[in-house]
Amino acid sequence: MSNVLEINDLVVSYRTARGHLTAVDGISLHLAPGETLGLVGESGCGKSSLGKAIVQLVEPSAGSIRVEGHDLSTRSRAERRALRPKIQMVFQDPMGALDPRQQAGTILETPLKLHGLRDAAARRARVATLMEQVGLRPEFIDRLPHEFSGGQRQRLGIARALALNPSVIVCDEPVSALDVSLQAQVLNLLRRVQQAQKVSYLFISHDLSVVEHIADRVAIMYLGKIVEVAPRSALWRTPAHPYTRALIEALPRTDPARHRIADKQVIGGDLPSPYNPPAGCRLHTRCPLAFARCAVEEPKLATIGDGHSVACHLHDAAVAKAA
Amino acid sequence: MTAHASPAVLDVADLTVRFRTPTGLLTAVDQLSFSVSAGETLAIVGESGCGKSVTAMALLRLLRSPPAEIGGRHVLFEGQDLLRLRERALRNIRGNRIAMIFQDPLSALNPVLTVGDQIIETLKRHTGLRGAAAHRRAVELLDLVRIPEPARRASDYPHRFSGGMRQRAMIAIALAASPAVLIADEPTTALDVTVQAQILKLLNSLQRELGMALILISHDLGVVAETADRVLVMYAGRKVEERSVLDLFAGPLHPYTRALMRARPRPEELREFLDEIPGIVPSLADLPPGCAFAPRCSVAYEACSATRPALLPSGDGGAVACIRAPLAAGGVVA
Ligand SMILES: Nc1ncnc2c1ncn2[C@@H]1O[C@H](COP(=O)(O)OP(=O)(O)OP(=O)(O)O)[C@@H](O)[C@H]1O
Ligand SMILES: Nc1ncnc2c1ncn2[C@@H]1O[C@H](COP(=O)(O)OP(=O)(O)OP(=O)(O)O)[C@@H](O)[C@H]1O
Ligand code: SF4
Ligand code: SF4
Ligand SMILES: [Mg+2]
Ligand SMILES: [Mg+2]
Repeated sequence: MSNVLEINDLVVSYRTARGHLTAVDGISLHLAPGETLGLVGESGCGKSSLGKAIVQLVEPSAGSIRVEGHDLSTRSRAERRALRPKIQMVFQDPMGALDPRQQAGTILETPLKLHGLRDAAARRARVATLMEQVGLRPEFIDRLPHEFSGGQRQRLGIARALALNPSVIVCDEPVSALDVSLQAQVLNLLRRVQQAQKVSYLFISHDLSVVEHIADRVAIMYLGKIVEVAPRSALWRTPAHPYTRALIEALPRTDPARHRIADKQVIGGDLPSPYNPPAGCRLHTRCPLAFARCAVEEPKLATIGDGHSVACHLHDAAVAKAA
Repeated sequence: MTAHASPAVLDVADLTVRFRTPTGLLTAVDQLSFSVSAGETLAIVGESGCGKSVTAMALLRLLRSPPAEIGGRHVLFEGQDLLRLRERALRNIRGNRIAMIFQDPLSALNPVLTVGDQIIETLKRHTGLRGAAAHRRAVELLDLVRIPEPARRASDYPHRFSGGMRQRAMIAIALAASPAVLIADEPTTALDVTVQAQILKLLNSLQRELGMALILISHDLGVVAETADRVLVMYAGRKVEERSVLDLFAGPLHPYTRALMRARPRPEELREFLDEIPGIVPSLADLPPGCAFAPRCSVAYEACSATRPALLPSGDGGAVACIRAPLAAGGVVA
């Protein structure tokens, strides 16, 4: 079956008091039905901007987004609105994303009403099903968001995202604010939902271990660009981009017999300002393997294996061989 | 091997912190005992609300009272009991002999003073240094925490620093008076993973170089595993397990420690579903009798709810508070 979501050369930029900032700089990605694509990168690299463009919360400056084959950029406002239920979003901070004065039942019923489910009894039945699906007890229906625990609020956010049977859910750091025990509950819930109804996830996180757990494929982002995409096992076992390797090396492991901070090879420096990204390869100011060409020429994303692409000059040789 | 090879610089016995709240008295830290030696890193780990920060604040009596009531047998440091010390004497210890760094460096830094001046202020308060000598020392400290071009960066205001550099600046301030103990409360939680690794590596090497005792507070078992020598696991205000880092991760004895480890995704070992810990952390105002973990524990039985399990030696220099620990240990280590 064809992709439920296709993004081509997407650009998202902002005009701010400090100037012009390109948060997403020419990104192409796709998502197959029932698939989870993980999107990993450090703070400010543009993950949420990409997610918000997909759910039409921000307007892209260039590029296209196709939802089930329909190109959003060429559609009328009304047509775009009609496609909205297909793509839903779950946020990091469920408290900020839920109306604090609305009871759980109302929060879940509102999208159903807005999108034409007129029969009140049918709406109530759907709300009950949704609550059951995410493991919220029926008696919670009258509770306000602040009366739930953090994990329960995130369940409510997921139920709301599921209300209109979307084909894609953009999960933007859905477990980042949760403790490990709640994180496990929510990650398991997302997996059960996907097994039950074939929804696709774009799973955004700064935590590579969470993404390696939940995603089928992983895309690594640095300063507005995708630097590597690979099936999750290939990304973990044969990471090709120096930045991916740095992320893997930096990941704290729970095996003190083999991994101690003193022995780690840690990449230096901080993320450069997105207002003024480095020329050439954006990692060259921090990359331990950078050479002359890296500062002047931008590497393009090129295929190096099955579903595995990387944007780094070191892999030109590999690309030439593969071609 | 005993866990305490060298004498403790800080020895905490039965520290208890209660809060008087409108809905009643809650015990946030319950008879907590631990100690830390020079050059050693003790990690305190546990989920949100288990009492990590309250413990850190209580050691230096930084909690406002009321509502806090701090009690205990003692908090011994350099021959003095901090629980009983007069406020004025304690002020000479805070930020001087025992320093602290926090999760959010920006709120801890003064936005209208340059980073260099903030270090100089600490130097003036806690050491005899003044003028040019203090300035020189401030630049040295920035260099020590690996801030590039330290002489130039000393005259920058905090907002010009990135998150990682701010935390480095905080570490520089904390180290200004050469403390014997550094308490770091989630020092990298707000930082990106590559910057987190930089800061932890820095703390680790400074601690070795300076022979400081480090108390590292974290909710992240990975951070703890890579950085600590010894680990104290807290649940609902109590110590449930304390072991050397190698022993703990090779064979956790407390069911809560085990559950925490198995709930965490591990890229080395992919599983379709993570092992959930059912339910949520209990409210401190309304703790179950007996073992506080009983309602969520997969191996609990009636006796667990009858009396509070005593903290018993685990035979390897550590301790564990679970009436089924020896049984459970057999199951895991095998
Ligand atoms: N509405 C906005 N106006 C101006 N700048 C913005 C806006 N939203 C985001 N930015 C900037 O765009 C860049 C990318 O931000 P974005 O939120 O997409 O990053 P992110 O990868 O989601 O980061 P985080 O991990 O911190 O959530 C950042 O530099 C951010 O400051
Ligand atoms: N001033 C206060 N009044 C009442 N209760 C308090 C007060 N300060 C802290 N508490 C409670 O004490 C308990 C322990 O809080 P503490 O901040 O130590 O947790 P923590 O382990 O540091 O959690 P986190 O990982 O979220 O930082 C919590 O239940 C908290 O709500
Ligand atoms: S292109 Fe150069 S700077 Fe960029 S990642 Fe590859 S080696 Fe490093
Ligand atoms: S004492 Fe009982 S309930 Fe508590 S951790 Fe041990 S087995 Fe579980
Ligand atoms: Mg974001
Ligand atoms: Mg805390």
